[in-house]
Amino acid sequence: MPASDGEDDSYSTELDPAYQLFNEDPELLCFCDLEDYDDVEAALESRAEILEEDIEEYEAEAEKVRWDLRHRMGLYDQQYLQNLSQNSSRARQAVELLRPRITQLVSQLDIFRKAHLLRDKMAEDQAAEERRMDEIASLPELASTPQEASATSDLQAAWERKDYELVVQLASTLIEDTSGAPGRDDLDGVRQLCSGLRLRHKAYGAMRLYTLGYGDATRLAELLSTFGAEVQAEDGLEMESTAANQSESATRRRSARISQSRGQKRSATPKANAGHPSKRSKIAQAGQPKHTSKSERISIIHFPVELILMIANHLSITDRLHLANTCHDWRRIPQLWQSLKFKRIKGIGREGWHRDTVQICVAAIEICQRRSRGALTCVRLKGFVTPSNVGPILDVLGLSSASLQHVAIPTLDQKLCFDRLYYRCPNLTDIDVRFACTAEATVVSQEAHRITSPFESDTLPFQLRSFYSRSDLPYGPLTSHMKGLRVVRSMAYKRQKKLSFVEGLLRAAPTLVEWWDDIGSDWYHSTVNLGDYGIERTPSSPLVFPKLRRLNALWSEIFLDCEFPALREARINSVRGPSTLEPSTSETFSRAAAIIAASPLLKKLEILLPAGVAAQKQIYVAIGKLRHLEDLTLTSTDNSLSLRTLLSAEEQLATPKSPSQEIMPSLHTLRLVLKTSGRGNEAVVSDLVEMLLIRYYRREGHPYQEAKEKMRQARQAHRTYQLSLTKPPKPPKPPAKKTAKKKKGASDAAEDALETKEDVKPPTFAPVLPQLVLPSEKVYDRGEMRSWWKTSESLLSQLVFQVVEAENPREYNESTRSGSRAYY
Amino acid sequence: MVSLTTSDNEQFTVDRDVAERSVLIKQMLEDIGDTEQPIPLPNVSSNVLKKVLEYCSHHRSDPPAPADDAEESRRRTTDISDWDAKFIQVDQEMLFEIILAANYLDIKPLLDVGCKTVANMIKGKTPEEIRKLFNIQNDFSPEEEAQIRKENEWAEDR
Repeated sequence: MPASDGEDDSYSTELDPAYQLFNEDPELLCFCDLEDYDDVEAALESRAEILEEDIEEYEAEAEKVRWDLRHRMGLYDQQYLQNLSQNSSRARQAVELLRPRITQLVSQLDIFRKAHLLRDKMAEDQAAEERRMDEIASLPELASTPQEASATSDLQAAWERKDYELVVQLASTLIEDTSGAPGRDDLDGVRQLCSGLRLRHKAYGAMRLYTLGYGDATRLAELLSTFGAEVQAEDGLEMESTAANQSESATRRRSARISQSRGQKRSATPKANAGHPSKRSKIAQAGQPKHTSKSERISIIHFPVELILMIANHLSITDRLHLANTCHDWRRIPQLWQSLKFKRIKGIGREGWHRDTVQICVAAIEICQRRSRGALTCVRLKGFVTPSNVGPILDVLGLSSASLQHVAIPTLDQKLCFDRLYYRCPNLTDIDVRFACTAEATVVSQEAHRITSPFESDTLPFQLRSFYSRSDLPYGPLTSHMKGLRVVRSMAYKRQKKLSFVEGLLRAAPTLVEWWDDIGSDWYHSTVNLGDYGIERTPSSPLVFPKLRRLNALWSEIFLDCEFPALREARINSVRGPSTLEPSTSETFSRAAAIIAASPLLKKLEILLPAGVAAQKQIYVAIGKLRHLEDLTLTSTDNSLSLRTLLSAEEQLATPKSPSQEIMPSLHTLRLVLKTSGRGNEAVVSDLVEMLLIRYYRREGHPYQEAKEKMRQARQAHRTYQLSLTKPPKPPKPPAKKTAKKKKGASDAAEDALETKEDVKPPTFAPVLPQLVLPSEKVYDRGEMRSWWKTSESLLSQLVFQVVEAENPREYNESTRSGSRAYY
Repeated sequence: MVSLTTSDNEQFTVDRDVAERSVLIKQMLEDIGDTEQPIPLPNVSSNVLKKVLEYCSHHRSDPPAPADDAEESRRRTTDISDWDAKFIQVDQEMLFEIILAANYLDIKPLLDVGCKTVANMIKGKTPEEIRKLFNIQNDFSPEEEAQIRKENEWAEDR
């Protein structure tokens, strides 16, 4: 290969001087091709030897003249001396001329040798590249494209081997290559196209991917109707008529026939229409019984790769790996190896991963790169890597820069990551900068210069979609890159208070799907006001978040005019919200209530309630209107949690015209997170029983006031029953009196003084709340929780299908507070 | 009304909107127009089609899911409605048959429910447990298994 091939060849410029020398010396032009290096070197050496010999000869002659002049002065005549002198001068001149020539030739040889070395290096690189290409080509999934001449034979061979995936791959290549044939009226091309379509359809059928095969059958039918018998069955790839694939071929024929009707309309040749049956006869033919063999028990192992991947899409990375390692066939599915999660949680301190862990991590990445056929898309490393150790990881990930989409590298020096990796990843969409080393974060947060950001460049060479961060560390000027963001997790509060933040938020609003702040101790205490954003009021038009589905954001509790039409899950700190007054009224305005009111599709809500009754009522009224709410968590930091205001809100919402209208009709789970023990908790349960009883009676069709009255009677009856349990038994009453009392019914029980347990029949109820989650007994020191729970146990156990104690309330609180702890 | 014939030659007659939950049948009906002839479904047996039609009938008036919803829903394995969860409580072979039928008939919501159910069965299980669950033969040699364990130690949730 000529060394100067291509303008981008880095070697070509280095070879130019060598070529120049050759061009300047006409005698060497015959060797202008560097392929003849040996000839050129021999010629140059030969010329140098000749010159050396010439010099030696002239110098010998000059020496001879000098010797004669010294020793034979008297023996020779003047003429001889002159001749000697002339010979000596000539020799000296020749040597003077030849010396530079020799130097030049040596220089030529030196340059030429360098050129030769470069050429050898190029040849080595090329050979290495070819070896790599051969290696890739030898992989089954990336088999080299067959030449058209041998395509059909390769296809047939693959079909005979029952390697259906290879058949699909080869057929797809053939179809792509020949797809232009119909337009050129290239009958040979159309024949090959038909062969490809037929074989791919058969292969899809064998893999049970019938829907994919349907499109091929349709296209094949159209081609056959257009080009007719000229292209039919000339490919030698007729299907074997085995019993196993009869039904599949019938499907193919049926689909093809059905589609032929469309093909006929476009057909230009009369031949194409000949012999095609009518629609009805087509259906009749297709309706002949086809039996699928049931002798073999269906197992997941027979599922096509497409279905295995659909299942894998619902699995975590770890579970996906377990699936891949179940059997050889699944282990060979490259897509199951496209994601990597590497965890090392033992012994992570400020020094981070040890060198051996880094080596294991690099090996793990290489395994996934190899098994995914170089298509690694997601790498999530968990732990902590110091900037000095992260280099090898960045180097190995650089090999997957073209395919990487999600990267989580737990190191502080994110600028280094950007410079060495992110910058080279055009498809990167998700960046995760979290790391598991709280001690380091604490120190670093006080040394701002140690925090580096991946966003210091004005423009990013990729479109950022998701950013996962730590709330305790600001990671640079993200706000200028917020356009198109979909997911933001744990953005530092300081960052959310920057002056430019509103501008970034406005850019992100149309695409945001999730904004979830970390819940640490700051969550309860951080405050912000509009002045932090450099504004006094939010923009006059509402800030609309059309796609936002999950929301837990500092900013959301501040901006007054936001709409969340698609919001499904929210966590709101109503204590942190503004204690501002609505400008137009004199009433205290609850920002939390405004968010809830602006989110009609909420399904899950966790709210930290404010202390004031008025503010709580606003929130409960807003919650009561949520028709889709399934999961509600009520939290307070003190003993101010009260459901009494919820009851009064329900009364406020109750309308006599719609007796069955109830608040939160879809409520499935109610969680009560009570921070302190005390008498207030007993009142909470009492109010809860009241609320559920009213719900029970309203579901029976009673209007609110009637339901409320019935609730009172039922509670009284229950209390009477409880009292009767504590009294000693009395002698039985006469039978007649007993019967008369029983007829009065349970609802009137409270009005009569029942005297024995046998006489009292407590009212019974059906569950109206599927699940109630209460704090664990362990959280309370003196056991008040247990006592008030037991008091109402019999009623609640009827009205609630399942009462669950939070397994470990401290853990629950921690996990809900700290996303980062749950993450690691 | 639309008539469907199964692989074991049993005929089902259902409302058109029920049948058209299957994209395959919908496209076929668009191609051939109104017909009283039964549509053959040679890859679906009668007991499976009965279940599939039960699903289609229950979801006959479901609106098509928006793309965003579909994407999110796909990733939330536990997000199966109560009715669907009860519907899919069948033995393993029937579950696989329903998935294959949903794939063949191109009923994406049903296929999704089936795949989610299988995924939920797999969640948290080791390869050995997955083999046992689905009665899959272990075709790794002891040496290969040791290599796999060593190779994938880093990925275990601990």
